Amino acid sequence: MRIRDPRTTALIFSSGKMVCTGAKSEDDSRLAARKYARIVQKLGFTAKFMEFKIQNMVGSCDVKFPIRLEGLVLGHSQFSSYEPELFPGLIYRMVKPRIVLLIFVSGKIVLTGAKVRQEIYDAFENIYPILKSFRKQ
Amino acid sequence: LSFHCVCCLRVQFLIFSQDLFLQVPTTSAAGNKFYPTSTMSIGGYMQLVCCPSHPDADLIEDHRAGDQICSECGLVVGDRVIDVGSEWRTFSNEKANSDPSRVGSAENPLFNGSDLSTLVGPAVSASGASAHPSTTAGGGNAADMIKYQNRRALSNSDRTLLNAFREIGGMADKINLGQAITDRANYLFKQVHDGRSLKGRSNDAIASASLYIACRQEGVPRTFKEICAVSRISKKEIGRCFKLILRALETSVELITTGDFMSRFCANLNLPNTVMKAATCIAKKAVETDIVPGRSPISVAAAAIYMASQASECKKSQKEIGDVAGVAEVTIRQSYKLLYQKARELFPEGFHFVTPIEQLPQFKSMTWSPVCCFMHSHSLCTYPYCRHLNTATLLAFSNN
Repeated sequence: MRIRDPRTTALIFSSGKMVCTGAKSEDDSRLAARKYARIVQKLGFTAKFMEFKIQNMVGSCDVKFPIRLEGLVLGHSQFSSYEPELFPGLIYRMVKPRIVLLIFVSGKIVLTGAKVRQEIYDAFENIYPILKSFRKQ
Repeated sequence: LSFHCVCCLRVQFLIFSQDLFLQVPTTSAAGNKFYPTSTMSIGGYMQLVCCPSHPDADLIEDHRAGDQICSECGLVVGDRVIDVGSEWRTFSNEKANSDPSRVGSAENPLFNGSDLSTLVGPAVSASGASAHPSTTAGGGNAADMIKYQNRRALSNSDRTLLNAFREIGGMADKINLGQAITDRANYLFKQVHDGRSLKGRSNDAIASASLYIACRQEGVPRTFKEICAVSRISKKEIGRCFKLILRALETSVELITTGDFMSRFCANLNLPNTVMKAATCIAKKAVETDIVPGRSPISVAAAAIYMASQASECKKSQKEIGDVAGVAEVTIRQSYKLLYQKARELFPEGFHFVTPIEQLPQFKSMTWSPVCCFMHSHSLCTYPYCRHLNTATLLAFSNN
């Protein structure tokens, strides 16, 4: 099901569990989930809004300089996986905040797998000096 | 570890963590010829038999008497040693079914558990095939080669291992991979199988992925599409298993480069050596000067082959190169456009241009001009008010 207002998509299961994706902030996500619950309630089911939990947060950013992915995979081989045949970006699995980063040659970064907003920020703080050291001249 | 067994001309593949005695058979005519044995202790195991007063001394074998003699003091350490070599020589061009070896084929101890069971098969009769009036009608062994199907209970893990090894061997055979790669792939599969971390995955997928990793580790990488061509598993699944195996075995592989594929692609396209060298040089320079950022090395290699072949006399079309390399034509075109801009610096010195650089195909991007309502690239339109006219043409027109 989709609603327009916080533009989101929900997967609603017959067991009563629901997954709501696509919101742009935590509050929006909670609001959208409440709206879905309200819709279900209006249809006559006894719906309650219980156990709301944010499972995944995705962030993207741009470091504004090109990156040498080959150097990065050589330097951080135990965290990085770069297979140009499979995917053009480098997949960096950071350990300390457990975040997966997709790093592209253009300098765009996608960070995913966070449960709280601070993890995304911490992961970016950690990766930025590494990326600077592998900047393309 | 593999060694060429001199006596029976078979290549034995052994990775033992035990003590080994390599016996060089004596071919001497007269007298006692002593050949020193080389004792290999792999895995840190000490020699099992040694002289009590000289544990580090080499033992010399006397094959006539079957003795092992200490080289320091002459003490006969072992006597009546049984020669474990082959009783007779078997050459590879003889028929395999006349191999009279009583012990069967070489064990594969690393891969299967110590599997000491025996298969019962048809009687091998060297002479007197007519001496057995067969009970079956029609007689002779030709009709029923396998009289006894001893469906012995192989342990499950052994059966999966054997199946996987057969699968890997079949795939490697189809793309003419050497025995070293097959063996490495088998070893990888066994490691993965023992680790049990990829238990849920299809064995064929693990086999294909281990073959891919083996090719990479041996320095002769094959593209995923080439492995897909000989396997029934999709590229996506092989890619997933590949990443999982690397994580499970905690290994990494080297990044692929354009040069790894040049010789194979050019050979498949029947391109001469000069073109191959030129294409290798173009691709290498292109990656070094980074004019193709973010492009897969396969695509860059294909585009370099296209450029080199178009500049020589045997021109190959994008479709042919795309078929061989597993790259889409549009991808070759995209990478080629990037390479063409710096074509002059990319070609090696001393390259003989049959078609000069200016006449190499250029793929100008065609756009639709709403003003003159034609599809054209930038410099071709002669309609004066078309905004796709570039400045030079406009100036030339306005001067007339």
